[in-house]
Amino acid sequence: MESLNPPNQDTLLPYTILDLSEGGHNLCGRLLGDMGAKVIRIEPPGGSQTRLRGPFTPDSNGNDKSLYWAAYNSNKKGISLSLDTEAGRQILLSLVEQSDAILESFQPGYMDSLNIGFGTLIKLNPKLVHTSITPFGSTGPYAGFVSTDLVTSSMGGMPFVSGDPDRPPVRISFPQAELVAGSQAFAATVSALRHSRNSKNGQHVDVTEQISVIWTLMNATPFPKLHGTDVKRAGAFRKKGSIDARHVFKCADGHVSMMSQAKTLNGFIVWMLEETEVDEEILSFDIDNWDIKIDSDPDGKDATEFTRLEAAIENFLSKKTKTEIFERALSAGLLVAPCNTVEDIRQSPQLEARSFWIDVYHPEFGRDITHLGSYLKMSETPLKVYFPSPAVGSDNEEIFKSLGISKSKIDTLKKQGVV
Amino acid sequence: MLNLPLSNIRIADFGWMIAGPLATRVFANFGAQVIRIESTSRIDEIRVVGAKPDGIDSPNVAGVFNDINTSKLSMTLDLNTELGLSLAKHLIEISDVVTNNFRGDRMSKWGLDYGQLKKIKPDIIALSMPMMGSDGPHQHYGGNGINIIAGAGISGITGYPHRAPVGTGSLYPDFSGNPNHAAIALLAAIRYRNRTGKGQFIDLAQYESTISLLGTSVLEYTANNKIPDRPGNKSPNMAPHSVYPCKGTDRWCAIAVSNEQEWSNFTKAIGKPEWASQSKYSTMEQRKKHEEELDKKISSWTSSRDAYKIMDLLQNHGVPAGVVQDTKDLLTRDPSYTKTHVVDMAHPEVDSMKIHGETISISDVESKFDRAPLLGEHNDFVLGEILGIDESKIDDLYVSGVLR
Repeated sequence: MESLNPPNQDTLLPYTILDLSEGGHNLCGRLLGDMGAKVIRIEPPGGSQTRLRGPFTPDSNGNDKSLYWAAYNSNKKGISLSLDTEAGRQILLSLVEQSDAILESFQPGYMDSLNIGFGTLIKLNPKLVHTSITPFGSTGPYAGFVSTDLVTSSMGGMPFVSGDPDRPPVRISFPQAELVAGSQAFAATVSALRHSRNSKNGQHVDVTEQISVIWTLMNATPFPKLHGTDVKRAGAFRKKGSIDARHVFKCADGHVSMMSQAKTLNGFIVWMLEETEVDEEILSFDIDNWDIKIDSDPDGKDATEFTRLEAAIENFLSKKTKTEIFERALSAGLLVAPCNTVEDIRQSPQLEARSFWIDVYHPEFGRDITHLGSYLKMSETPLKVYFPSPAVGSDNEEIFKSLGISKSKIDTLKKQGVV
Repeated sequence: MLNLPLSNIRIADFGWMIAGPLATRVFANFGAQVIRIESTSRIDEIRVVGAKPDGIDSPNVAGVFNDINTSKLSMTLDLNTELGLSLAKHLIEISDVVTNNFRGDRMSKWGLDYGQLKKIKPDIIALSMPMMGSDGPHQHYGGNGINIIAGAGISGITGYPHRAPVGTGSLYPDFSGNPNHAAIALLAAIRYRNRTGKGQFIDLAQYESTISLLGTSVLEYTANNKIPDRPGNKSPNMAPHSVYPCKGTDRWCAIAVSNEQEWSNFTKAIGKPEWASQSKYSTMEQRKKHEEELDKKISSWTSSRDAYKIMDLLQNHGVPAGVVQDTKDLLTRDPSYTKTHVVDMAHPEVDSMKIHGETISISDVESKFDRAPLLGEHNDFVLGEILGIDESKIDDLYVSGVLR
């Protein structure tokens, strides 16, 4: 169980952030919270739609214990507020006056329609950073589109280059578009907060999932301009110069992924020689120069030789286990990695040694949840899960009290369905 | 001089390949002075691999290199000589941040690990991005984006069941979480140093950082003991949910129906309102059960139609739909992308380069946006203007061979 002492607000990121975003966009506020910002997660009195996202804990009653919620909303305070009521909007405006940034992922135009859009907020608080995270941006012809991860990822070009060539394009099955936009939103928000502190000018920050996805295929986008060709999905193969090099190899108990470069290929020959016979001809190949030569001469002798060696390695690896191959990669410095399942990852001795996993007790769920720890190890300001994800409205009293709203007023608001 | 939010920050960037340099790109574009410390004897591979113009033998024209190193300076230095190393240390002494993404102990072999850097500059912020982290039993294991996709479990959940876990077609971790997370940590550490006067060491294991993108797929195992499979494009709680073949070669449209209203709208949009009243499609659960049959029916409707027309039709009916765009589409016909996010950049060795713009737009400042540096382009500037070395001494340095 981790300590629940919140970090020192005065050090890393001393900001107060209002988080009205949903789904994977919650990552932005989570990262801010990890770094010591006071993040207030605002959800409707009936609960956020993110709470309906699976997976759920095994003892979840239907969908009341969302691991998705827990993962991306820890290190946040939680209040409930109905933006459909005038009283609720007034409370939001009071909070905005006292905050440094607001994060939201409503459909473009929604906040304006309630009179709580950027134009209104910036007048109340000229230093405010207002970050919108949307599928296609706040403006432009696609701004009004409805979307999901599959749709935004597709429009961002990622599935087109992923998957087997004889099958439809495929996405990463754990939705990524919202998450990459969430982490881009973090960098943008912190940059804008820095600017706001220096210049006293707040601003609107417009982060889009589609652009964030496009960034993740930067190695593909230079091709049309430079070669007049598109990168196509190639399954277990990957372009090496202009030949297709296999990167996914079957092994005895799964698959491994290999980078076809000279050092690794030579390393495999050494390993094969230790355990089996290797064709004399293969031993005579000039592997050291392939990295460059194959690039310029795709049909030449080198490419043919390359394919032959690849077949020998394929055959050799088919009898090895993932662990054996990984051990060899470690000792010989080969660029090959097992295609791990989440189970393999959970059992990694490296992650264990670096204390990657953290058990946090979630009072709302009445149980511990094993969280992924911080992937940023900062020597002076270590990041932790300081407190678990909030239950609906669990911090109403504390936050509303700070706004000078009395307990009896809160009760009235509760009855009216505002909080 | 533009008033840029990250000016007055100097970064000595030992990063190479992709993830390291991409982490400092945003700093360079927003005003920081980012100095790439490179070598001509061991050229950063990303300068020569991947898409590049035909027939030009140069370390300066590769597409990815130019994309990820905008607005930076380049100096070449032989760190395996005492003189080269002392120049590097001189530069570190007047820098705020030192970054690298080498594996294991490369920096300490040069005497540039955090302990040593702190002696050179007590409040230095040092970022290391080795694949497996700076400690633990696997710290010396190296790899690149392809290996991380596999090791961190992305390929395990991507693709089709009973088929090889092929992962993503792009070097996903290199361009997504890893550089973003590194930039985030640097921004926070700089803020902390400004307030407290203390620097620190940031150890970002690219492996761990990529696992974080799997989020609750991992929690599904830690909490529920379930190992997620590769489900193709299927979603546990949406149907129809897939990419459907359209008119033309390798053209597809993604359609994702997430609730009953969208389902009803969808059936109207494609002229099959009778589907909405069929009991086997009446709820999400039912549609999931008959998903295969439903996907076939939808495919036969989509396959004779234009992907963009399908998208527009469905979006007009409030149904999530989008074309599976290829990179040419992105560059030529996607208005939301091309207008603001693709920049034509003049380059001394080729006609022009198409570069990704800055993703982050800050409304009242412009980011500066210069092309990536030629190899060693700023040797004179760094030595003369930044380190204040006399011209004649710079000539001596050239002669000594340390600037390579």
